[in-house]
Amino acid sequence: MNGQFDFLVIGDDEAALAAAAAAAKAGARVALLAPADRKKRAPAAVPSVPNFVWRRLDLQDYDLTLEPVSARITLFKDGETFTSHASARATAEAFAEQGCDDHLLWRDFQEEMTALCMDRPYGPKGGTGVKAFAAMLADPAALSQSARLYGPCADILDDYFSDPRLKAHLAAHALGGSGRGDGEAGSAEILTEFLDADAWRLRAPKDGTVLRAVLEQVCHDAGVVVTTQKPVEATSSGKFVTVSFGGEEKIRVRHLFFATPDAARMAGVKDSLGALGQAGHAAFTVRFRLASGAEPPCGDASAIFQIIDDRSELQAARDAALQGRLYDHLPVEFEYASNGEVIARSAFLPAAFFEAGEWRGWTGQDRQAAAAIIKERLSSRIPNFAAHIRRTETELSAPPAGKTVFGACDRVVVQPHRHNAISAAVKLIDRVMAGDE
Amino acid sequence: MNDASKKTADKKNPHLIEGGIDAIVIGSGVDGLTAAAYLGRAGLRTVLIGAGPEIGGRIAVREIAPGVEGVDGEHLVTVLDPEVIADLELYRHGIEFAARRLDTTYFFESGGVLRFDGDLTQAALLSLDDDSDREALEAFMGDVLETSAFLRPAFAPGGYPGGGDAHQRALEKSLGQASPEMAMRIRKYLFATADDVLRARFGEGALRTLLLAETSLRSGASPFEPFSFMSLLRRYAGEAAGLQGAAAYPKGGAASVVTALRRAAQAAKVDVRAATPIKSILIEGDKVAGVTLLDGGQVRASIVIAAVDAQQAFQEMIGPQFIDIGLQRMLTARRPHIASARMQIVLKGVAQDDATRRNMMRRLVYAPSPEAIASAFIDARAGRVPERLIVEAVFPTALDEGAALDKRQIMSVLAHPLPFDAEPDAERREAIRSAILDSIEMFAAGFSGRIEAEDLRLACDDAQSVHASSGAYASKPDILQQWALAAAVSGSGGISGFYFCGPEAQIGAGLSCAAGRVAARAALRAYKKGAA
Repeated sequence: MNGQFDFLVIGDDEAALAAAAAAAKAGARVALLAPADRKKRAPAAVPSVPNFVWRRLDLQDYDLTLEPVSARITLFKDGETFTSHASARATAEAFAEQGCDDHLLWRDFQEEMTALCMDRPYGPKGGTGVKAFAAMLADPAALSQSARLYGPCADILDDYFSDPRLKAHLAAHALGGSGRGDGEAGSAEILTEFLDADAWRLRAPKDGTVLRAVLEQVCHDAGVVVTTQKPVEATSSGKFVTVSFGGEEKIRVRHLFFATPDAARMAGVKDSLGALGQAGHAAFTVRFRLASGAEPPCGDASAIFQIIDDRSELQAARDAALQGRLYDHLPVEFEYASNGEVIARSAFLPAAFFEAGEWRGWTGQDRQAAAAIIKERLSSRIPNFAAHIRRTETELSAPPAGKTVFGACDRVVVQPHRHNAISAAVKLIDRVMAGDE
Repeated sequence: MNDASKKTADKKNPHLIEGGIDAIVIGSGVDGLTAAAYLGRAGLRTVLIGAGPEIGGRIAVREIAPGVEGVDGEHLVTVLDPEVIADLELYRHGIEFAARRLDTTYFFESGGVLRFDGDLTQAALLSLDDDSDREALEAFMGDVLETSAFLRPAFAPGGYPGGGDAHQRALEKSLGQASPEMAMRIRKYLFATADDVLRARFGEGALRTLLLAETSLRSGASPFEPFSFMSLLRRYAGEAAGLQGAAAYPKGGAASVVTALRRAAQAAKVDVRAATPIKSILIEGDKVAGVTLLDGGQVRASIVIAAVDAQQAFQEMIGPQFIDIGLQRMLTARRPHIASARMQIVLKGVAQDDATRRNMMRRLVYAPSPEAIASAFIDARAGRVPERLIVEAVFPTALDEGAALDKRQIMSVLAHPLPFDAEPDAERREAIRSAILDSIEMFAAGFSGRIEAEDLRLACDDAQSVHASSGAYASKPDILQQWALAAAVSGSGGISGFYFCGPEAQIGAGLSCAAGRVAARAALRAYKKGAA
């Protein structure tokens, strides 16, 4: 592969494909670096595809069908559950039904969180120039807003709500994918982003089209050059990064683009702004193939579930991950794929293990132990779960140790949001093209 | 109040109203003294009122063992505001430094030792063999000093009403000269965790470990959390004895700063009244009108500066009905989790040789491994006493000839991070005591055998000694929360004539006096505007 590009998009998740396609359609020369060894699997739910992305990519021309996830459900111990929905009204009603007095506050809360996120004085949207910084420092209201936005998630939840189930529900669903604790600075921002309408996830209906496949087609049609070659070296010089694939093959690109914080983390790249404290954890996914006849909790196979006993477990699990050990009461997120598979994952696992004063990488035994904990957590919520398992597959996504190809590069752009990754990635690549970033 | 004192108070002035005063400063700590001295020098008739019998607040000389005196509050000077020194002529009023820039020795869990002559900033390493480490440190400290000098206005207290736009203009002016490179650096350093920055610079080496310890010492934010790197920048933005980033030891310890400030206040004809508890701050309309004393008397003035903690000033003296909901939420929402502890240890024996004597004139820092620091913050936040603590130790008796004892030494220790307790029981104190001694034992093996006496002082003890709210001297949260709180308390709830320079107005820990200076200047600006 040779040539010169405006963007090298790294990763082939939905957000990366959408951003690559959007940039290519807008006239940029885009290359996309996909992992070579991706297995074909039933897709998990994806972030929302907002209208503007739909139009930008002319998705109406492709046979794409998606449906929203039906509900977010938290499974506490002793069979207690807590549910919220996409619509604010349905959520408030569900809260009232569940005996939660905080339903009256729900809409206010959502509006104020959106405002908190949108009007940020300093940060990705408010600008990060020194002028914005000085203006923030000089304005007590702006400072207090920033302190809330970039502060701990727990502070905001405690400010609004009293029902511990509701607080655990929101914290678990908001932070589950990021592996962050609710007492940490920076976790409130993830909560605000989680409440965004674009954060409501979509799933492929049974026998429907898969978003990734459609986006791959869109990329192809838009002229995105896709490669699965392994880069050997990347060096920044001036306005370009030269990425070499070994031998004579090298490309020059203006920007390295990561569409999700996870893609950046997996490449050993950190962007300090917005992706607050993303270091120090791994995500672990277990896919369970079940025998037919296994009932999903609440009889709802199209919801996203969180397993948590108590809100304090989020921070405890995060602390354990930072200390390099497995945590027994892992918060676990799971869903049913369209083929009936249960996809269970947790981002609260250590990036590496700290034992006897030394750090060491993951071993086969660690994977087994992590899978066993996740299985145990599911068994505690789904009756007879273990008896229904026919096959188990695990997937670890841990940041690489040591030097990486892109780790020390300049001209790296990282999209920091998880919950609304597709929308945010397309917006960000637009801003980069316009020269705003 | 007990009956006896009530009687004497009644006998004294039951309803005396005292007038003819321009300004009242509440609180006789260093910031109160500073503010009062500034007002007095400007010609205002100023009364400084302290609740306790002593002047100086938590920085006080106290008998820590029979016949042995130690200094509470602070054992080093790292961020004393140079403007205050110059404006109040503190050198003329008796401040003298025994050591202007302490040499530091770092001890590591592995048993390794790094010795620095002067501060880190000089990077004149005695025992760093690796040239690449030396260069990395030199380059890094260059960046840190440049950035922190640049950010100095951002670390200064500010944001007083009336100063509003001017404050922003001043900040924009000083920060506006940033090169694009500096803007990038600030953006990166603001959001970064200390660990990210240090790991990127130093990999896994000892320099990362020691800088992690320096960054986290006294901070309520774990170095693995966002915004934590700013703690280091803030520390290096401060000056001791005119040297940026230095740790200095004044003759007589930190208490000599109090003495000098007190002399400066007296020279400025400030009326200093100790042992005069205040009941409330008088508000008439939306203006401050003076204070009511606990004995029923009133002192009236159109300027009141509170140099006590925010909880006391706003919730108790002003009253929640006068302060806005945002400030109230900030004052009540976040309870402190983490605090440092001081321990003064009287050791038997004297240095036998010159080498030991010279070692005792250094600042000693025990830097646990990054993993141990991470665990310590996690434990402390969860209310457990950590196994390993960061320890900063100096020997006042060796540094300061005037403090030397016969056949004994005082070792003054600051240990961090510990869980903050409002009312620790004896068991908790014992756990903290042995955790500190264990951590000292890590770098000074066998020293326990020489202990003659020891004195443990927790954050809540400092608070209690000056009748402050229990959390007033706990460690502060990350820089953004600190800025937000400082801006909110300086905003002072929109009460005209009222200014605040308690501990919450200061960014970061240490003996600074800048908050007192800024509050007094804001008051003087408004006073002159009113007079004109």
